[in-house]
Amino acid sequence: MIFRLATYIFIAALIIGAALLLNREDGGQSLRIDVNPEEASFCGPHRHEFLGPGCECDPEAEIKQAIADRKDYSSTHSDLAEGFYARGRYELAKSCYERALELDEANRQARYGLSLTLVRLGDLTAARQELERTIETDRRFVGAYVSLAVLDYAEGNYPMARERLQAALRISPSNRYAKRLINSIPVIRKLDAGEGVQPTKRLRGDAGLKAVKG
Amino acid sequence: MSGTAIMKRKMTTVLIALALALAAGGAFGEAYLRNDRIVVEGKGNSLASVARDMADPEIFSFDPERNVALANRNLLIKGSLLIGSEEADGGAVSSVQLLEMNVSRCGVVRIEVASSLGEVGELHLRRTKLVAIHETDDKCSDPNLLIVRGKLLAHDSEISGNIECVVEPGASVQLFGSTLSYNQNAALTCELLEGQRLDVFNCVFIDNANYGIRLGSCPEPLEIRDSVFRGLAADVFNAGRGELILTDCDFRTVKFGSLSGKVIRKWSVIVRVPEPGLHIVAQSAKGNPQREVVRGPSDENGVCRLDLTEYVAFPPRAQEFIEGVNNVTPHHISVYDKDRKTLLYEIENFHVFMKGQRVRFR
Repeated sequence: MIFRLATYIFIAALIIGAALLLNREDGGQSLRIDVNPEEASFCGPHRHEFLGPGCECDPEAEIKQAIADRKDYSSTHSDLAEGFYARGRYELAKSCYERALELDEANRQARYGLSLTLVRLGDLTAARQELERTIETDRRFVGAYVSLAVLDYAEGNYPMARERLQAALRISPSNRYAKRLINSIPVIRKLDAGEGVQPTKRLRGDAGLKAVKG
Repeated sequence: MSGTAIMKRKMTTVLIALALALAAGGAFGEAYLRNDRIVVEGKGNSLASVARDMADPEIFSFDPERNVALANRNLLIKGSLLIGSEEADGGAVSSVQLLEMNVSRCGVVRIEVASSLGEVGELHLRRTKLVAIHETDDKCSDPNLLIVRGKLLAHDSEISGNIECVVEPGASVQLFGSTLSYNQNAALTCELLEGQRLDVFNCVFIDNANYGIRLGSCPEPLEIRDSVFRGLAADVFNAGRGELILTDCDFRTVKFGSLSGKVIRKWSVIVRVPEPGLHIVAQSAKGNPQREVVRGPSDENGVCRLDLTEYVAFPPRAQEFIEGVNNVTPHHISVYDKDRKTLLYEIENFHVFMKGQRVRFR
C-alpha cells in the first residue's frame, strides 16, 4: 500500500517537474515579438515566401514580410488608382488611393495622387489638406508645393500662390511649370474714388504686386 | 335638317370616335416581335410590361426581384420605354435597374429610338445600367449601337459593353450624370441639325479604342458642360466643320477630321464683388491671337459667373494650348459701378485653366 502510494507520488512529481521544465523562462533567450494588432489583422498571401521547410519559420521575419506585403498591396492599389485616374474614372481612383493609404500611410505617391483626384472631383478643400499632409511627410516634394500654388491661384489667393511657387523654385530652380505659373500671377487693383474714370495705369511685375489689396 | 346634313353629322361623329379610339390606343403601350426585333409602341412601357407582352423568356425576360431584364433580340422603340424608377429624382430611390442585351457576337446589338411623322420614340433611363453582353470573346471592332432619332433621356445611368450612342439629326438628347464606357469606336457620336439641342452635363464618355466624343456634321455650336472624355486615339474628335464648346470639361487630346472645325475650351469663373448690380467685363489681353469680351452683372449676392475661354483648338496644328497661336487667356477683368462708367477694380494677367476658379474683389 505504502509502496503504491509512493509510486503515485513519484509519477505526479515527475509530471509536475516536466511541466515546470517545459514552461520555464529562458533567461533572456526567449524571442519576444511585438505584434501591432493592426498589422496582425492583415493576412495576405501576396508575394509571401516560405522561409524554410516544416516549422522552421522565423516569426519576426514573418511579421516583416507581412508589413512588406502590406506596402506591396498599397502600391498595387495606388497603381490601380493611377490607371483609373488616367481613364477619367475619378471616383474609382479616389477609393483606390484611399485604400492604398489605409495600407500604408507613408505612401507619398498615393497621397499626392489622391489630392490630384480630389481636385478633379472639385473638392478643393480636401485636396488642399492632402497636399499639406504630403508636404509634412516630404518637405522637398516640389509637386505638392506647385499643386498648392495652383489651388491658391484658383481660389484667388495670389500672394500665397507666389509664396508656394517661390518655395518650389528654391527646391527645384529649373521647374518649368513653377516658373511659368509665377509669371502668370494676376495683379488686382482697387481704384480710388475718381481714379476709375481716368485711363488706368497698368502695373506689372513686383510693382503690381505691391498694389495688391486684400 | 336635310339628309346630307345628317350624313355629315354622322360622318363627323364616326371620325371623332375613330380619333378618340386611336388616341386611347396610343396611350397604352405594347411590345411585339416583328422582323426578329422587339418593337415597343405606345406610352407607359417598362421592362416588366415588355416582358409581359412578349410572354417568352427566351426573347425577353424580367426578374423583378433582382431588377434585371435580359433581351435576346434587338429593340425598336417607337413609343416610350422607361427603364428605372420615376421617383429616382426626388422621392424614394429604388434599386438600379439593369437591361442586358444578350447577343451571339459583338457588334450586332441595335437599340433604335425611332422617329417618324407624328410618332417620336422615347427612351428614358433613370438610375439604369444598359449593358451589351456577348458570348464570344472576339475583338469588338464593330460597335453595338444605340441609335437615337427620337428622344433619349439618361439620368444617373450607365451604358456600357461597346454600345456607341449615335445621335442622329433631329434627335433630342439629355444626358445628366451618366457614364458611357467600354466602347471600341466612340462613346458618343453626334450628327446634328440646325437648332437641334443636345443637353449634356456631368457625364463621362470613355472609349477603349478611338474617341470619347465624335462630332460629325454640326451647323451650330454645340456646348457640353462638366464632362469627362477619354479615348485611346483622341479624347475629342471633331470630324466636320462644327464648333464644339467644352466648358469645365476634362479632356487631354483633340483631333480633327478635316481642315475646318473648332474645339473651344472654356472654364466658368466665379467673380465675387462687394455689392450686387455691378458690371463685370472680361476681355482677352491685348496681343492674344484669339480674343473675346464677356460681360455680366453681379447678382444679389455680389456674384457673377463668366464662361471664359482658355484656347481654341483648330486644325491642323493647334490641337492643344499653344501660347501665341490659339490662346484666348490671359484676361483683363474690370468691375464697373452701376453707372457702367466708373471703374472700381481691375485685374490683369488673369489666366483661366481649371474648374472652380474664383476671383474676389474686396
